[in-house]
Amino acid sequence: MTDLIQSLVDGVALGSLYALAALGIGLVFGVMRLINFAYGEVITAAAYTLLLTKDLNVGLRILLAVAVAVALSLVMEFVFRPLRVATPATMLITTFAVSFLLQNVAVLWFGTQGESIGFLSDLNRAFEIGGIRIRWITLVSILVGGAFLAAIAYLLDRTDIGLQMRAAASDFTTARLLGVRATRVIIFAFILSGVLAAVVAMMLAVQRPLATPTFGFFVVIPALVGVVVGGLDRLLSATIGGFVIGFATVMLSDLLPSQSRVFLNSVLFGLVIVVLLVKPNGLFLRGAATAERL
Amino acid sequence: MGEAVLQVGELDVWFGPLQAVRKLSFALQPGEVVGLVGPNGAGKSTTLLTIMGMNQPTSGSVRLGDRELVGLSPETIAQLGIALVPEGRRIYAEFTVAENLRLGTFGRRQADGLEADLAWVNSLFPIVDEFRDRPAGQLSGGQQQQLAIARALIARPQILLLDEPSLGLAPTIVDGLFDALAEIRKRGVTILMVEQRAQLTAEFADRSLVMRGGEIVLTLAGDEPLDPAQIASAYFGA
Amino acid sequence: MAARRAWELIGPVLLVAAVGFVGSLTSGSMEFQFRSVLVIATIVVALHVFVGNSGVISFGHVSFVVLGAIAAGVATTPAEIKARSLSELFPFLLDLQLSNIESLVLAAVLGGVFAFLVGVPIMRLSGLQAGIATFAVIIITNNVFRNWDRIGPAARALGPIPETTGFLQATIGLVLVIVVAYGYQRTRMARMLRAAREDPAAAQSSGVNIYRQRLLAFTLSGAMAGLSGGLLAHLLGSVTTEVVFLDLTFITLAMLVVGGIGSLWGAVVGALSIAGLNAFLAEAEREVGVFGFDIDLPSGTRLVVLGIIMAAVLLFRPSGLTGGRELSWPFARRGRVAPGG
Ligand SMILES: Nc1ncnc2c1ncn2[C@@H]1O[C@H](COP(=O)(O)OP(=O)(O)OP(=O)(O)O)[C@@H](O)[C@H]1O
Ligand SMILES: [Mg+2]
Repeated sequence: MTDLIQSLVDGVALGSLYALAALGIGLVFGVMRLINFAYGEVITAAAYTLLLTKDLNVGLRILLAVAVAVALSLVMEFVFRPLRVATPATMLITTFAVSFLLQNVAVLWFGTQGESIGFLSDLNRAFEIGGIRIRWITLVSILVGGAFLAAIAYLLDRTDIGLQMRAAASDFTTARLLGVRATRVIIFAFILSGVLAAVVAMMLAVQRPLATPTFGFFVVIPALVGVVVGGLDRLLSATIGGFVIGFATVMLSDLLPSQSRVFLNSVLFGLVIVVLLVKPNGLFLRGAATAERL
Repeated sequence: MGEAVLQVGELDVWFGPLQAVRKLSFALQPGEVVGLVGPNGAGKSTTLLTIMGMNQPTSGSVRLGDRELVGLSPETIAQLGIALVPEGRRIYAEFTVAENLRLGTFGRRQADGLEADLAWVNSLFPIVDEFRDRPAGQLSGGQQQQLAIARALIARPQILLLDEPSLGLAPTIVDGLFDALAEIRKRGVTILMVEQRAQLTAEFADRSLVMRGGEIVLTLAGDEPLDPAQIASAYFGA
Repeated sequence: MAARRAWELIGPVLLVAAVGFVGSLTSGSMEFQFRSVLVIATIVVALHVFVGNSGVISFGHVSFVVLGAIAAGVATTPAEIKARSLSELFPFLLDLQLSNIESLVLAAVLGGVFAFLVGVPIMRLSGLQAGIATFAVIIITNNVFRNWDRIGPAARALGPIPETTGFLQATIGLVLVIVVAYGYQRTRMARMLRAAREDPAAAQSSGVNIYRQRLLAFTLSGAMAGLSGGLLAHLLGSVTTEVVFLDLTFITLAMLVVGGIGSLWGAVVGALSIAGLNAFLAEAEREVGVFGFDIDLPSGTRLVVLGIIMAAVLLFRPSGLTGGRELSWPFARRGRVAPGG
């Protein structure tokens, strides 16, 4: 029983992390119909920033990590402008090419070995409550994840720019006809997604403190899968999709017998295929939203 | 003739190998109501969308006062004072009525006077206020059309473009719609309206342009008695 | 007219033959680079048969490549070495000994069968959903191969595999897939599939069974990918699952897009130019004179330069180098230009 609760808690923690990444991907997809593979490298850039600022105080490191992630995100927005009129296939492969490029820049710069980031590692200590050991970072992940999800939900629901983003995501053409500035909305989406990338990088850096060129890539891949499985066409479903992938990863790895744990990815992605076949438009999407065609 | 508010000159629009609008020229005088009628595929919607900057013409000009609009983005054009009520209304079905209306405010040129405009729009279309917290998708077709027009008006446009506002509405509802348009006209808003109902439109408008094959083939003055045979031949090119 | 048609086949074949010929005059590591270019191009043409005709992006084709590579490798690695270093293999795999050509046929057959089995469920999906599903396939394939030591090398390297992919085989292999791709493209079935790519609703209503056509293209393309995996194994002399995984997936897709999705010519041009550039840069990193230039790049620059070039082509020429059109007959007047969209 305590084992199960332990798994649940860990699952929620990883789930909220992936949910943030999924939201970062979903925000940009919403306004631009662009799946940004290179989002992982924004996370990686924030992680390397934490590494390079090891000697500074924590507040400054956080600030710089956010600044770098947002800046890189804005550069991407600018670079991807020609893609606004490209076919989805070209979009997808181009962002992958950029991801590939940035990973190799990181290899050239830092090597593939990986260096210890050393960021708030005290949070890895655990406290015990009712026989369950909970690491502080687990709690922090859940709280920070929840707080950011709530903040962005508020922003989308209550502010002008939020309304514009939702309108752009739902019907961009009409939004523009009404005077919603396309470029401004897209820039704003990239800024938000940059902030989320930095948050994800920080949460991760505590738990997996090795900065490598693929640091973010391997978060974004499952998050992306979650986004599609959950349903791309709505931010909420995409975010829940991200959460579910994270949660399922933890649950499966705890439930599988230890000798078959190495096949976790097979089981997980096998389920992904099943879900796609059963509900191609997304697990958490009601109604007949049209699927993107490549 | 006085100074035109909108001047379309020699407009050509192509979609790949297909020319949708050819050498189209017309002008709108301040406060004028002009109908644009014609058979399916005549190029009416294309004309409106090109004015709004959604399509790029291969040649020709669209001038708002002395400002050239060709090449500007739709959002810029919207903020310069032209509002389009698009074909099929394009309401955000999953947003509330109030949110749909709020979206209209992003096209406003000035911030002040919003309260008064809101009051006017609410008096024109009471349902917009009455059902403000409902998802717009739950409104009836006629109510959605009212919302679409309200959303355009809240931007306080100088020129209102309407694309088939009466499409799919019951006759009594259409009457109400034209009453509202008459109110809007009283405010001095210049209106260019695309309609399938040629008869009704020609009677309501100061002037109507009959379009076919991307060109204006006939101009009807509102005060002349209509000759149905003439309209039919303009429509079908007999 | 016939000459013009045939040119769509002859052009790419001549180009490949020329590359093969020039390569055969080189030696040492340069010679190896040329052979790799040909094998990579084989993978890209295989990928094109599905992606180019269906318009659906597949992230899963490297699954068939890795299956082909491991199958060909297991079938030709000397039995006594297998018994020593891969003793956990199923007994029939330990005993399996095939000739070079037989191993290539096996690779192709397995690639096709695997693609068919995977395609039966997945080809029902379209667009991004199909993309993610095929991505799931490569993840699962890699995961299984990496951890199941009864069917392959798992986390170790498989080999030594006889290095039989010389110029002759590499060139013939590539020409073979080009000919098959061209032949397939000319069939009624491929035309239906391309019609469905342009306008799925119209194609469906005119009676095209999109699912069946996609499945056919996927299977054929999987068999070709399997074959290229076999060639790859015999090129490298040893295979690990990591070599044939995500990097290869995306590089080959990028080559396809850089060349121009939708045409055989685009696939060949994209593959040869990017793989050629890659080879050139790899040589430059080794501080040797290349084509008379003495370039010395710090190692790791290669992939960065490659990334920049791929991204630049995609951003500034999104329809690819060839615009996705077949090679047109160079001696005739320019044909009607397709209307832009
Ligand atoms: N985005 C587009 N791409 C290609 N062709 C288009 C596009 N928009 C319109 N067309 C074509 O241009 C022509 C004019 O279309 P338009 O929509 O302007 O006609 P319309 O007069 O508004 O007709 P309706 O009364 O049916 O609304 C038609 O032949 C149409 O098929
Ligand atoms: Mg129309």
